[in-house]
Amino acid sequence: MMDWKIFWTYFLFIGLSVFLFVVLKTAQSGFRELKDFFEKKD
Amino acid sequence: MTNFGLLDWIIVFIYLSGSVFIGYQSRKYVKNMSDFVVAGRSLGRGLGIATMIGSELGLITVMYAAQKGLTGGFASFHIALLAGLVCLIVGWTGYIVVPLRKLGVMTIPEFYEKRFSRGVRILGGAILALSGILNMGMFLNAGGTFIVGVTGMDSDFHLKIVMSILLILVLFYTMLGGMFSIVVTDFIQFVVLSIGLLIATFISIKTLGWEHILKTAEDHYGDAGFNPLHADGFGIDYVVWMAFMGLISCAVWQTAVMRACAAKDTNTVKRIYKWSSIGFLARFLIPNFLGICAVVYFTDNLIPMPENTLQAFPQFLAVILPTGLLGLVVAGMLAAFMSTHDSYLLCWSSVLTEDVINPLYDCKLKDALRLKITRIIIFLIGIFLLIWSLWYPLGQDLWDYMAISGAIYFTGAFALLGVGLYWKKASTTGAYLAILGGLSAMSGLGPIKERLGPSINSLSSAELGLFTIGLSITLLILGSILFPDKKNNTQGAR
Repeated sequence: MMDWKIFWTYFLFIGLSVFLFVVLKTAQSGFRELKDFFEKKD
Repeated sequence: MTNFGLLDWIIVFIYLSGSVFIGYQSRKYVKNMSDFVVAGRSLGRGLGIATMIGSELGLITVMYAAQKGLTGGFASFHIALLAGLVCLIVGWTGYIVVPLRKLGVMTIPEFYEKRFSRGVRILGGAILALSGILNMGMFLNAGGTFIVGVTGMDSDFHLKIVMSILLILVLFYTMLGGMFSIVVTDFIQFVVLSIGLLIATFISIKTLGWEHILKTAEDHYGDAGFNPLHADGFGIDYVVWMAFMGLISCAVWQTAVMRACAAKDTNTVKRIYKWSSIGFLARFLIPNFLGICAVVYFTDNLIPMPENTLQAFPQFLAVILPTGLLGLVVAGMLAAFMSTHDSYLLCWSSVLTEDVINPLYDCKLKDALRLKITRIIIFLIGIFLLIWSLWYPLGQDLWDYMAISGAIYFTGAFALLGVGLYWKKASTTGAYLAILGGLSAMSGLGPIKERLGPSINSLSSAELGLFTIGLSITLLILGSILFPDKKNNTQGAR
């Protein structure tokens, strides 16, 4: 029988870590794109 | 009780003024309808992901997901799991979104015309806008409830004033900047809110203790608080409904599809979806968890749970976060509120202009006039939202209201996209029937359900939603077989 408590514990902590990574990575590339985007438009 | 002080007010004021200023500045980049609606189709991966998550991780999402966590416990995490998984599959396969991007459409009803007929586009557009506007009908109320709860204001009068101010701010910069202002503000809000919520989660675990959270949740919810398939909790029909909702949220819901349409090319679309799957997961996971933490905090301190469970989450944030950080999170939440609101306002107003009004005039309206009409509609929707938020008795969890009001459109749309894009024999008559079949989802709205008698009232939103999908798909298939198109129009069918 599946232990949901353990499953959700891992799910939460892995999910949070991956999300933090995605946020930082996206913030970095998004900032660069935003700069290019407005430079081109100007 | 709240930690929200003067410093927090200052942070909120500076942040929001900055957002409005950016929106105002963005107006100079808007030259035509494509600039206004899809930012000239120039989004790269980073901005695409940020705006996709930024729009979908709004204050409203956080509020209803926290409420779901609060009422369902850890079992509510299945919504996050399914949302992330389904979005990842869409990213891998390109299901629905890649063919849509290839067609170069701005809205889903535009696809209806290419694939079926102009009449299907007009009917589909009208129902999409009706469903979308109803769907955002409770946004102002949820936003106002959040601010009132977090700042410690306690009267209904305050709620109304806050809702009106929020609406004016949003209308102001959406009407001016369109998608350009949304891209910029979404990006800032995505970063601030994501980091803010992660810190709030960390502080909650540190303050309440992980083992203690688990133990209290076990006592409070029992087995149903962990096992999503448990009959006393969500149950299998709800889980299936959520898997479907995951697909709809990322691949059929117009606001998300607009991001796919705004991407540079189809490879970018796929990449945006793969990366955004984490955002679709986190937008439920974090608030679900904070909702559970609110229950633990209220139980520990013997504080009675508010009658309106939506209020519990902001009240919890107000005591768990220190001054300063609270201001930053609230500013991020408010910016998120504005970003969701502006995306939705832009989306439904452009659907009404591009897919209902313009086709009625044989698509001959000039760009400048369409832009003007869109801005007027944005304003009118805003007024409607204020009235609806004040008047409508919710009577169900906010998430269930959102799902069922959205179902009025997306059950029919799913049939047309999911089947129509891939099945060459799907006909115009079948498409009309499928769209009209979706209207039966209205029976799932709380007040309507009550009036329809005990046989409908005893059905859950999930059961009604699943029934409507089945009905729409069946109508599309039967209608197409019985009334095939005379001329084979398969543009857009793969």
